Amino acid sequence: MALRARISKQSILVVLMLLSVVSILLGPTAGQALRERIMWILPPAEAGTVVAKWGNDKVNDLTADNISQADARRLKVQNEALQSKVDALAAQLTDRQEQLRKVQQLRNLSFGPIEDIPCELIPARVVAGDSQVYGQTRVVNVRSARKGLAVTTDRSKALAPNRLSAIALPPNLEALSSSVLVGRLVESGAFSARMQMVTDRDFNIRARIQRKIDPNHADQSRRVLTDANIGLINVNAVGDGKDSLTVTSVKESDHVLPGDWLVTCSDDPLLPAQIHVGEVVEVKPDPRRGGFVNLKIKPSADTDTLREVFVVVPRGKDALDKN
Amino acid sequence: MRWIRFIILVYLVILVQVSLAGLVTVATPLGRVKVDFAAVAAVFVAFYARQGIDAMLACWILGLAVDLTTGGGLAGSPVVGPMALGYAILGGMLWRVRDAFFRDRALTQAFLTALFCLAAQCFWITAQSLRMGVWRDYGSMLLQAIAVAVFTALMTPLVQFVLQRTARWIFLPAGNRSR
Repeated sequence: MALRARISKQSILVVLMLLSVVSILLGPTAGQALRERIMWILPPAEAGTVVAKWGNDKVNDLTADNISQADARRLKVQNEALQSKVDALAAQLTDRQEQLRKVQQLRNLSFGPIEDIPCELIPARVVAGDSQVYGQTRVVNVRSARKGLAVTTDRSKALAPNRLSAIALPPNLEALSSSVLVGRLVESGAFSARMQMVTDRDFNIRARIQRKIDPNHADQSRRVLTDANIGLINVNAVGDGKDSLTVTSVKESDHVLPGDWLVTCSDDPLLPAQIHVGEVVEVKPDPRRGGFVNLKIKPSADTDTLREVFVVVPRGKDALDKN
Repeated sequence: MRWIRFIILVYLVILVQVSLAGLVTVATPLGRVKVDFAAVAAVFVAFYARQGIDAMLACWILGLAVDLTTGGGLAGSPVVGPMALGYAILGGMLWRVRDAFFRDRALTQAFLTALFCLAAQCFWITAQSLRMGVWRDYGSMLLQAIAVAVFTALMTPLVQFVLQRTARWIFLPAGNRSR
């Protein structure tokens, strides 16, 4: 009783304020440790995240472009004509795929089967966001995961076009080749982990620009694969803290165009695969350096409605040692 | 003040802040802008707490909850403490001047919440910049903080209406000794 009488609310407040100051002085490492300790209380926020995603999807549907009745009828007729062409092409595709499988069998006999990427893909869900607007982080429900691990999502649900796989690939390679990078884990708790999105202002990645080759490309030099446009350009991409990434100091002579892709480096021990990060949407001359351009990259994953993700856990002693 | 019930309220506010707030997030050229529910709750506490010390303690707890659920900021993981400190000081100041305002008026609530939110956010941004030694995005983050304060003020009357339903559940009636 005497002890309780001596501990006043004023004393408690002074102690708490001093603890705040000490925590600030201890720096981000202490802050990170504290956040990891209490991360287990956040998973109940998943219900709110589901509601928020549902709401955002509804808003996206409502704000999508509307078309007139005449346009709708015209599109329906066009659709029917295209459907018969698709059916005819499907038959041709089946023949081509059979030929490709035979070629693949010959290849496997000569050089051995295609090796799968030595990793494990752990499914997870986004359960909560960031308390404030300055960071682009999400909490995912994965237990005791190592920091630095890459997080991807299925590209078929993302904004980038889906690539049809004509040959049978090993499972991890197949999954990762249809994925996009959404971030990496920066904090890890007992029941959940915090993921730093690619658009976070502190996100930084060594990546490559892959030029888009398309027979219908507006730029003639990109209609056919040549020695000039086959190479990958090594770059460093950083998040801009809003909704995109920025790449600076790219040579103008590399002739990067909007529509080109930003992909990861396959020699990263934590993500030993080349997967999409985003698409170049803007190429601007660098105002400070002549002969160089700055790129703006739009991520391929929709950060507003992101839910199902995969945490890439590399396997093998070399990957762990390098990590 | 009934502290256990208040802790439950803080938990619910933070859950809403990290999940449902995504529903009312707006993308602007300055960056993402969303409602700061914790700031609205802090103003609510400062309005209705019987003692100034209760208001400061309660605001400190709210600020700490925000610090512990903020994963990104200027450069890497942010430090824990600035928001707790800022909320406690501002909560105490607001408690002292609350009698000069009509607390039940929506305009008053919105105005004071905007000021509280802006001051707390600016304090947080400045403390983080000073501690990390990173100033590259300082100006743009302050502008973003202004946008957050304005947006929060617009939503304040609605959120305060909901919070006021919990006042009897959290605050002791007049004449009871504070716990």
